[in-house]
Amino acid sequence: MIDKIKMIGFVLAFGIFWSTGLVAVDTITGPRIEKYLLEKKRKKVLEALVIPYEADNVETVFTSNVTAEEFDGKTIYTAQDGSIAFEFAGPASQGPISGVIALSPDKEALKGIAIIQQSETPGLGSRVLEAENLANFRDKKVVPQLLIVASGTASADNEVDAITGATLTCKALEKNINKNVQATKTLIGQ
Amino acid sequence: MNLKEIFGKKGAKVVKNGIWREHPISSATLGICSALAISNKVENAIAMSAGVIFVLIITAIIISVLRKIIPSRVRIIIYMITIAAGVTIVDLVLKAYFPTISEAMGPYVPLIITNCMIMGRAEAFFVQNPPKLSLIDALANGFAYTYTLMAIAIFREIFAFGTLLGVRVTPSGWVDWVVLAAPAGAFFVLGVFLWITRTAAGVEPPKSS
Repeated sequence: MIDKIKMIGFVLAFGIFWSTGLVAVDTITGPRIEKYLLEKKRKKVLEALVIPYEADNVETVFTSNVTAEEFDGKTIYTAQDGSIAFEFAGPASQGPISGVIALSPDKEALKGIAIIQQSETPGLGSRVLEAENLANFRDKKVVPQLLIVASGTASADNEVDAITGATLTCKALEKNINKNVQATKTLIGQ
Repeated sequence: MNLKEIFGKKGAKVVKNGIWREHPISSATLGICSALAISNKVENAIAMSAGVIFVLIITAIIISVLRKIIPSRVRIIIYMITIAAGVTIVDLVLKAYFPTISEAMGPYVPLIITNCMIMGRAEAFFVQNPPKLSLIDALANGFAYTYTLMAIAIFREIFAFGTLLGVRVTPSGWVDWVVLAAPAGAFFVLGVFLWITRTAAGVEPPKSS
């Protein structure tokens, strides 16, 4: 009996010791992590809206170029030229994907896409989400729908070349873009 | 310079066992999940190794100092709490101070918890030996893990991406071996690595009955 009490006591004491340690580390690192995440989100919104920024002036560029507005709990970022950006999240081929989609002022074409978090296969699916490939989506029509077609066959203004070896990621991205663009347009009533 | 002068007689044996004879990955096949997952780029392999070594050291110190008072029935729980807490610290520190590395490693940092190598060393060594020897053992095993990951990552990064630490090293016209970037490629490379090191170390395959 005494052995058991000692045993439970030991585990408890040990757990409390580490919990205190973790709370301390969290208190120290928490504000830095939050600051970094906010800055990252702002960077991605700027990237999607194709507004240039330097690593040290993200906050100034963001506050002077973009206004944030709440629509039913979803934040819509509006740039000075009337183009809008919003966050999206959804499933992809290997795991969840999230990022920012920006639409042109008439809401008919993509202005840009930026990825915040993804877990596609490195070297295969992940290539779709690299900045140089995401640039292919600029100015593509989302009306009636954006289409990712076989590599080298994109001709209409709503078609984007797929990346060989990354079919599933392309498909998932296409689906996410169309779904989120639709949802956001309905939300803001256009 | 020889190992005995630096680490003492017992220490030298621990080092030899750790980095070669009882190599955690090739001899005990422990920790191969992370070795497979994170060895596609040298940069990631360095960060992963640093994380594992840090957690090994924390675990070695805590477990070996407390080894006489840890009730044996709950020792696994104690290892788990120590390892999990150590990994959480690594995760938070990476997120706050090295966000780019933290992002490249993605979910693999929290997965250090499930690296059976750390658990294995805690049960096989730290809980039975004094702090000094345990620390030597942790460093030796950490080093063994590191050089294995490096070897696989260097091979995979060169052949799968044509780069080394992000710098292009292959001639123009080089065709990337895409399969090596995929998880399946890791199995091939690790398999060959195990074959070579096990043959060199003279490890007998288990007899099938």
